[in-house]
Amino acid sequence: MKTINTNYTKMIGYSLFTLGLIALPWVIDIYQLHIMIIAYIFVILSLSLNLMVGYVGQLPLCQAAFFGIGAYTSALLSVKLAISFWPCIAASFLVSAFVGFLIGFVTLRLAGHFFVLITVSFAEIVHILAKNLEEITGGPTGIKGIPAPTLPVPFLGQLTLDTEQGYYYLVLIFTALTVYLIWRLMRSLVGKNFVAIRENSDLAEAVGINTFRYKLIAFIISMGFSGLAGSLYAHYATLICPTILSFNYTMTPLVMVAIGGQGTILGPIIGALIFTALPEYFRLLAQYRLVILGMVLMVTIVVLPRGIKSILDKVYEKIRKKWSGR
Amino acid sequence: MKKILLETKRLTKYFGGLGAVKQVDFYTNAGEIVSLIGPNGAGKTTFFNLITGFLRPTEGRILYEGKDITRLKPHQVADVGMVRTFQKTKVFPQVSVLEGVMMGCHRKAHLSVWSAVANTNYARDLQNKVTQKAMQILQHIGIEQRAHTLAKNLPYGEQRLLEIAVAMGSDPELLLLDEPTAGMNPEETKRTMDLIYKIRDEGITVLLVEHDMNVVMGISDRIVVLDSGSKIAEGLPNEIQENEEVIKAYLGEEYISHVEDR
Repeated sequence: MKTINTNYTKMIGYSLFTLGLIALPWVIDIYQLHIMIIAYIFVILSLSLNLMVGYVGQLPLCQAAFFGIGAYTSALLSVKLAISFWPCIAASFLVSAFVGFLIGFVTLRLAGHFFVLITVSFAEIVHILAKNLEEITGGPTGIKGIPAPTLPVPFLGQLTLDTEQGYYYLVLIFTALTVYLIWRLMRSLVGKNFVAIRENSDLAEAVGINTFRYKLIAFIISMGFSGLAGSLYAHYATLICPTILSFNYTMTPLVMVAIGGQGTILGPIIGALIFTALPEYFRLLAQYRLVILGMVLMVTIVVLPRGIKSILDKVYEKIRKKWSGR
Repeated sequence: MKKILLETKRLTKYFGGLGAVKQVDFYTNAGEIVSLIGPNGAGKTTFFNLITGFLRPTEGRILYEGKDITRLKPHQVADVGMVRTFQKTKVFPQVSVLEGVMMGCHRKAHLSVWSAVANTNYARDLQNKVTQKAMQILQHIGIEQRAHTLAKNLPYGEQRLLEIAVAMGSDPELLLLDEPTAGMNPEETKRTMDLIYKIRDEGITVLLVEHDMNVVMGISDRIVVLDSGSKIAEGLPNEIQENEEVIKAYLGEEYISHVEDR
């Protein structure tokens, strides 16, 4: 009886949660909706980073570069070649994943600290290239006029998602898809191989897990989704410039993952939601953003190494015990 | 004629000018328990690291069922059927005992990313099979009541048993155990020895590196002795016990002359 009841409660909980997400645009104002869209994009970025940091146990410091590669791929294809949104976002994913393959193939054989150094250098190179290859990237001013996505709707023709409401649903679907795919992957035997590498790379090798291969697979997936996030950002902002390649966009997801709880699905989602919303309400401190993020990261690592998720787990456990105690 | 499983030919490893393993010829027959013994610093663990691909030999060759495996990476060595444990306990600390053994099962349970993400019937079946297999291994080894404990929370003796369980997950033909009873109390040692017999009786060849003489003499079909990187003796346990070279290596020259004087 008890299990049926908890399953029932769970299902009701999930349905209410989903309904809440769908109803959100009718409840909150445009500005808050804008924050939610950005937050979802950061959810995708954080989850993809978490795949490497939380599950495989490697620290790539190049999230910004792949976010940017995705954004620029989408921007260039849609502005210069007038290609529509859907092929663009697919291309962003694939191009980022392919560049991820190249970088990963070279660097993932190296010991962890070399991997960190090379990825951070790569990110800086991409940043400089975007600033200086003016004919292609538009230099410091970037690329303007990226078209909003259109959606073919039967009988109504093309629906342009150029409002916050429309775009909210688009990003919501992509975010849900990302969460689902990564959740599936991590529950599978492939996910176990990732965790085995994090837990003990030598032992993983000794029982026959090709650690290089699985690190590479995780890195490709991780960078592909970062590129996807970049594409979603580009079509939303309609204007991109090299700022999106700055270290800020590497640091922010890292803080989100660390504070939310690495190595979990829910952790990075919580982290992304909190750390997109909070800074928006402390606009005055914008210039100290990196300083504050750095300090928050240091404090978290010392005080709460498993993130906010670990507090939630404890609270949940307490409530559950109280309930079953009766 | 017994089948030779693993064979090394003039296997040599130098660290700078220091010869850790020198010109070692070695073999194991299928189905036997072979022990590699020797005083501290004799090169036993280096020899282990060489044959499992964790170190590259300076010279010499390693053959497995006649195939040259000298240049293989550790996971490729595992793939041909030779799986090891480590001298310093290595488990997957932050996952449950059951999950850890499931991770060990990877060699016979490859799954592509696509079927993992699509959650195909194949992926689900495989996952169920692996879960069952891991549970069976835990029952076999006798730590199934710990299946849902985090590995790091196990007492030391059970962590060492878990290590063997993880290695068994990969269905090895040749299991290499690096000092499996180190730091164990007599009761745990006995349990481990019984387990090693059981593993051998399943048709798995076992190569042991061991310090505990009682363990080695009781359990081994054959013993190979290393000293300062060179092989100084090999033979049956009783032959080794009486071998003067071996006694000298373990107890020192003075002890022998002291005994002879009396």
